[in-house]
Amino acid sequence: MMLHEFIRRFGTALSIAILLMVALIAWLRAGA
Amino acid sequence: MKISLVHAAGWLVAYLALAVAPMVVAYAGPVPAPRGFWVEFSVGLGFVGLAMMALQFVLTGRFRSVAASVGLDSMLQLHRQLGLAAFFFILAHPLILFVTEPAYLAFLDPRVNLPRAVALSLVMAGLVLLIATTLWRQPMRLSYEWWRSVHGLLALMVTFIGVVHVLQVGHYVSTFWKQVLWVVITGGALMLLVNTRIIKPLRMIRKPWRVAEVRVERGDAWTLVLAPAGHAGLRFAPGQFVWLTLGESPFTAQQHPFSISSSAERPARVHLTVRALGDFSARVGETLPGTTAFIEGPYGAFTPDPQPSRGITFVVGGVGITPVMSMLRTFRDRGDRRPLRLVYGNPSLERALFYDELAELERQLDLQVVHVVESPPAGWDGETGRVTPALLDRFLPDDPRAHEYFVCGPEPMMDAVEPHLRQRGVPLTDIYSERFHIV
Repeated sequence: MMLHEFIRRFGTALSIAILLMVALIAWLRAGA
Repeated sequence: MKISLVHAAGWLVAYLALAVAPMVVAYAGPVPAPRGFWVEFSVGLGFVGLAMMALQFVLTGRFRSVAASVGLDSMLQLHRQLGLAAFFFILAHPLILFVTEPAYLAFLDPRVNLPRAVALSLVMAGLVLLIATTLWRQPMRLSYEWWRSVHGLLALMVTFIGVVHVLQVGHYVSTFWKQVLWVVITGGALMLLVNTRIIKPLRMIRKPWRVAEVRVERGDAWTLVLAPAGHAGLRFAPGQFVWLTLGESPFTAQQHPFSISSSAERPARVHLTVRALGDFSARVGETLPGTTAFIEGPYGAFTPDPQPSRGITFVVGGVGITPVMSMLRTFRDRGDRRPLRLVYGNPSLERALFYDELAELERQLDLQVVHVVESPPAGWDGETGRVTPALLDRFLPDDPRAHEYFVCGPEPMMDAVEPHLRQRGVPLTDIYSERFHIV
């Protein structure tokens, strides 16, 4: 994997990970 | 640049923790009763988007420790990508609220609360402007200097109003220590901007430079030869770059990144070779000798191992030759005899920077230069066309893993070369690459 692609995926993976964490925390909180 | 995967993974975890921390902290301690999923999700996106906005100031803070492990160009690429993500998170925050609970539209109603409606409308407009001017700076014909000033100010405004909004709503941030945390986050972002735009220029004032010579190079390019004025010069590693400011004051938005093209063994004469590509670079040739200059840096991890343990293959297009010239000149001055190959693509031979000196360096170093020319002159018996994987294959060592690779040039060339080297078995950590359109 080239570096450019790596960084692009890195940023995308990071954004998706954050989005999922927010959704999980919100779901736990709403369901609590 | 050469990336350190361990460091990169460390920064990933650190970023993730810092981005989500304010949301987790908001839910800590005694908090009001939970609302529905969509409201909680939207509020979470707001918290995280704002934390990411504050972290954007860290990514552009030009910290050498961070930039050394992943490279400043990658940092700026990440800044761009995460900035877009933060934009969508922040934008989604009110949109989800308005759709799921229309009562929240009152936040934008000036009859309910005028200052709040104005501030929130302003922050959304500011955010859209921030992203639009960045994505479409060139079609919008905005000068780099103007954009850079506005970018910093808009980002600060969005972060500031965002934090005020968090404190005013106060649903999850009503306790004193939570409020302190948010004030510290805003203060931190402000300090980072002050550091980049004010403190670093102040340090540069003590080490001014003078343009000693402006050399005309082949194909719309010039070399600025900078001499230190009253100090010892700049220690750098070959392949690094600096941010250049021309004129009497370092306090200007007119700061541009350029690779150093001179030898690292000659710190008292720094050469910056610039091709007319943008509004600033096109005017570099008009610079008068004697002009004061300021340089910030050096930065960049596009640098070879000082120990000549392995050979290097350089794959270069156009003005991407400048950091490689710095390496070759440094190797010459150090008597470094490692095997070197340079595949150098240009639209025409007239555009091939340092053509004569490269021929001389072939005699002085263990170097083979392969010029690849798209429109060759009559009688040309060298390589023609573009630097393609097929062409590259003919000049790779028998075992491609025996060399390290430095790739620098236009995007299409890099997008073709980097994956090809990986296919040929070269580990990611042996491919150093630098893209020059970093801003």
